[in-house]
Amino acid sequence: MIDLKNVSKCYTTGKVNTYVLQKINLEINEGEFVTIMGPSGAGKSTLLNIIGMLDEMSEGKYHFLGESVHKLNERKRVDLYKQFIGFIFQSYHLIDELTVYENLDTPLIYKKIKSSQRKSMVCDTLDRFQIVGKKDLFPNQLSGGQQQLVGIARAIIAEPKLLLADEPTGNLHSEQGKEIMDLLKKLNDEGTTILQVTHSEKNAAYGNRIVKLLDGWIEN
Amino acid sequence: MLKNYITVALRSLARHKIYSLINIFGLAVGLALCLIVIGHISYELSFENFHENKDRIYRINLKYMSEDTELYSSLVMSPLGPALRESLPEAEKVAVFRVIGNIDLSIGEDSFRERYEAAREGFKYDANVFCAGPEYLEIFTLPLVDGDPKSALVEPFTMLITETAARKYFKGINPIGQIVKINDKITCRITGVLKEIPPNTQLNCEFIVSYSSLQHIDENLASWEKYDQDYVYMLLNEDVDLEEVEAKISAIFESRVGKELASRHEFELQPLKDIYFSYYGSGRMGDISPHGEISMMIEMGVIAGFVLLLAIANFINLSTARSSDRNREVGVRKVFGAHKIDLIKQFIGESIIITFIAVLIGLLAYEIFKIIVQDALPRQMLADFYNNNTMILLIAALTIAVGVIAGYYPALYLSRFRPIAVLQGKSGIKSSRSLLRRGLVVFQFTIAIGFICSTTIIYRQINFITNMELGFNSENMLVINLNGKQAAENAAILKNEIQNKNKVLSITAANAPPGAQAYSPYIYYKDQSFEDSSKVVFKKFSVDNNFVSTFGLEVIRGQTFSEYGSADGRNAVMVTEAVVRNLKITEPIGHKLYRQDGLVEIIGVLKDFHGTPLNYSYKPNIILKPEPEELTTLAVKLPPEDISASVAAIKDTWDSTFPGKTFNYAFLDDLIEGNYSDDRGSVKMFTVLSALAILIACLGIFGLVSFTAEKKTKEIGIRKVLGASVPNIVKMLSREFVILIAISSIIAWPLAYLLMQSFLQWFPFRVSIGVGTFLFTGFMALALAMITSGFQAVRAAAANPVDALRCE
Repeated sequence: MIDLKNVSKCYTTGKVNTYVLQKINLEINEGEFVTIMGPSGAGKSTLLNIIGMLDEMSEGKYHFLGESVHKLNERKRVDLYKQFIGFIFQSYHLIDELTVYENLDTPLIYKKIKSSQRKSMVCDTLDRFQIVGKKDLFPNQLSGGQQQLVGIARAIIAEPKLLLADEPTGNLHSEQGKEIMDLLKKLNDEGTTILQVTHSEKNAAYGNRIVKLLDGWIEN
Repeated sequence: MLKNYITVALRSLARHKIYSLINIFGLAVGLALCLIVIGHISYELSFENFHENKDRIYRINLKYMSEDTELYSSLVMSPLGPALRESLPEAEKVAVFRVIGNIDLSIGEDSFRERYEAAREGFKYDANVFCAGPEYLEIFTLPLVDGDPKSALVEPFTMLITETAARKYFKGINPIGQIVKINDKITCRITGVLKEIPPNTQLNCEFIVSYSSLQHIDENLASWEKYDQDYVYMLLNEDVDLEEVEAKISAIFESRVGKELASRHEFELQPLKDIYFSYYGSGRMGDISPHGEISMMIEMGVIAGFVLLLAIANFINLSTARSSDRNREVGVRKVFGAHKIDLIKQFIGESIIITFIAVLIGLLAYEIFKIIVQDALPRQMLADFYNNNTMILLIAALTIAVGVIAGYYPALYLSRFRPIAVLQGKSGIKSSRSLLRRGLVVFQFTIAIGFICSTTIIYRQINFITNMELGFNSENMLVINLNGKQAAENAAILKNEIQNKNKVLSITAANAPPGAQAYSPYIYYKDQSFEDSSKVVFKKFSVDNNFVSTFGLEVIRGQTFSEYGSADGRNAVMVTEAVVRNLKITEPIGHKLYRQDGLVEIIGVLKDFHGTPLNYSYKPNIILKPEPEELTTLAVKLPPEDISASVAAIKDTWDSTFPGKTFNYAFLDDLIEGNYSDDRGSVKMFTVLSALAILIACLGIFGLVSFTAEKKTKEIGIRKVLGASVPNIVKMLSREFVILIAISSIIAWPLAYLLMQSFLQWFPFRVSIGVGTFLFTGFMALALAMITSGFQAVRAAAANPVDALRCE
């Protein structure tokens, strides 16, 4: 599903090139639950963003479901990730002005799904995450765990093949964190490929493979 | 998607109340001004639009040339119309009509003195009574609600009345068959009622008397030499060549009057739609009020446009300033599949929504403004928006245009955010385009300072001329203007009566009081050559013997008329010093001046006085003995104690002298002041506009300081930790605006100077534009901006640095 070959990322400040990622080779198959670990500044989030196509790599090749991502223009890339990838963030990133219902609706709108179909998809998802009662609340009326629940619901509502999670439990206390991880595990069992970034060994244990990053290199 | 956008837009408006208020308020002000201008222009353009035949109706204008005059007139000689009706095949119909105006009406017991306005322009009618034949009703779209349009206006001494006039004069009684007496001379029977005439026409009247009535009272009806008789409007066939028709009119004219007289006349056809806007002041005889002024409309449009631009600049400043509120949303939307174009659409959509709200407020303001100014305006000047599809479309277009112009840059700016940067908590903008914002602030303050400069100078100028020493006595001077055929005789009678019955200091009869009227040219030649080089133009006063003493004019040399003796007075004139200077004569007394029809001798020289309003072109005064029919105005100097009793006593004298007629009078001081009402209006308008401009610009500064403070939260925190005081920080935040306002001033000053130079050109007497005005306005703008920015800056500077640094 994901195939990275010699992917590097560097920032240029003045005349100095700073490499954040160096010659990354990584293959992830459908159905895997992969964890990226490593100390701060190792390049975990950058790698996740490159895989999520939010960031561009400096060198190397990236194939996603057979498409050569490194050859696509911005518009095509957006269309590609919008179809197959869902994102979960440490700080949830819900839109403050929108209710729970409307936050779930937003990705579907951008996928140009018809209104009636959107309605049933949102209702199904609300049902599935047991947040029907909260559908008219705004994010700031929810607890952190509830917000992240909505964040996950929003990420998977369009049934992505790949779910990218950047420290999904980082802002939550342990009880809420466990619920979220159980949910991710369940989604993985149902067939969604998951790639998470975390510091926590406990969270890493939910996955079936760990990729360790150090100073931009994959540790073998 | 649209619903989602609108929801977000409205919620984000509600959440950021101050920003929303500033944005909407500014745009609403700008749009309200634009709506007022649009309303005015569209009303002005709607004149004569209701005539079904409007595209085929033309008026005949006349140009008369003789050796020493060129005269333009929209009136022509009476027989021309019937001649054209007979011999001009291109004219489907020819309407001949005249405006009678200023008349006394008697209906039964009642008598109505038609409102008479001390006319400032040379030829201004109160067009209340027209005189026209049946063709008039066929050419123009003026349906009757009662009576037969075919037979109405055929019989002599019949008349039509409008619905409005019928209500006013007959109060519910059926006017058909009623008898109306005009000027105690003609008696007419009402034979029909005209449907209400829309206000947007020059052809607004209350009565139309049948033209055939004139055959019994106007001896000039057959005269080809009196060119100031009637209007001729023609309904021409379609696709005629106007020049050809004009040539034919000249030919027909020539066939009636002969080559010699015809060679001095030219005829011009003027389309009905152009007439309203072609007003030449007193330069063309017979122009009907009201009239439109295109230059005024353009001026208003430009000013309103500028204020709107100021508001748009604010919108751009504030939208980008508060971008950090929105960038997370932008990041999330991008992550979930929004293309840049989706976001651009969203943000432009939002700005259209904001504009729409502002338009609604603007429309409300327009309606309120309409009610407020209704009584202050001399006539209706603003259109109705709601039952007018073109207007609704235009307003919709304006909304979208303003929304797009205001929203375009913020949309580009916001949609540029890179999602990962935003989501990781960085600003997401590679470089901040503060140049544009600075440019916008400079633009705003240039306009605002320019407005304030101009207002100050206009204000000083108007004060200057209204406080100027006029050189004659105008205090407690009652002016009574008589008119009608026996005006001069009545004036003489009244003058006698007042002298006998009332306690007045002095009374004089003249053609006009000094200072009240625009100048009427009076041409003399220095010598008998009648060369242009010896031509001198004066303002003329025809006066009786009391004029000089009543107005307190000072005689420097020679004699007054009373000293000179009245026997041979007709050829004697008094002049002011300026005349002597203009003529460059050393010994004025006894000097002779020439006219085409004779010569006059200077008997006295008066100290200069301002005979014409000071906002008109200045001409030296010449004072001469009148033709008897010229003395139609009485000026009565009242004793200073108990003015109202004196006026009441004079009114009693009037009532006993002319029973049943309305007593119309004015005080000379009021008449003089009235000359400047337009200018005072401009001062008011500019004051309001300047205030709005500076207000909007200051709101912009407010937004910009918020932006800077937000951008520099961290810097401010660090500086405070390192020991910076609150004043240090305020200085840091405000320094930029001082520089920007200095730049604005430097740009605005020369612009305002040039603009005001050309404004002052209109005045024969003007203030000097001092440096002080400019420094004052620059300082004022600076002070206002400092107050506005200081508020935000102090708030930012006083914040706890720990809070600022923790968020990093």
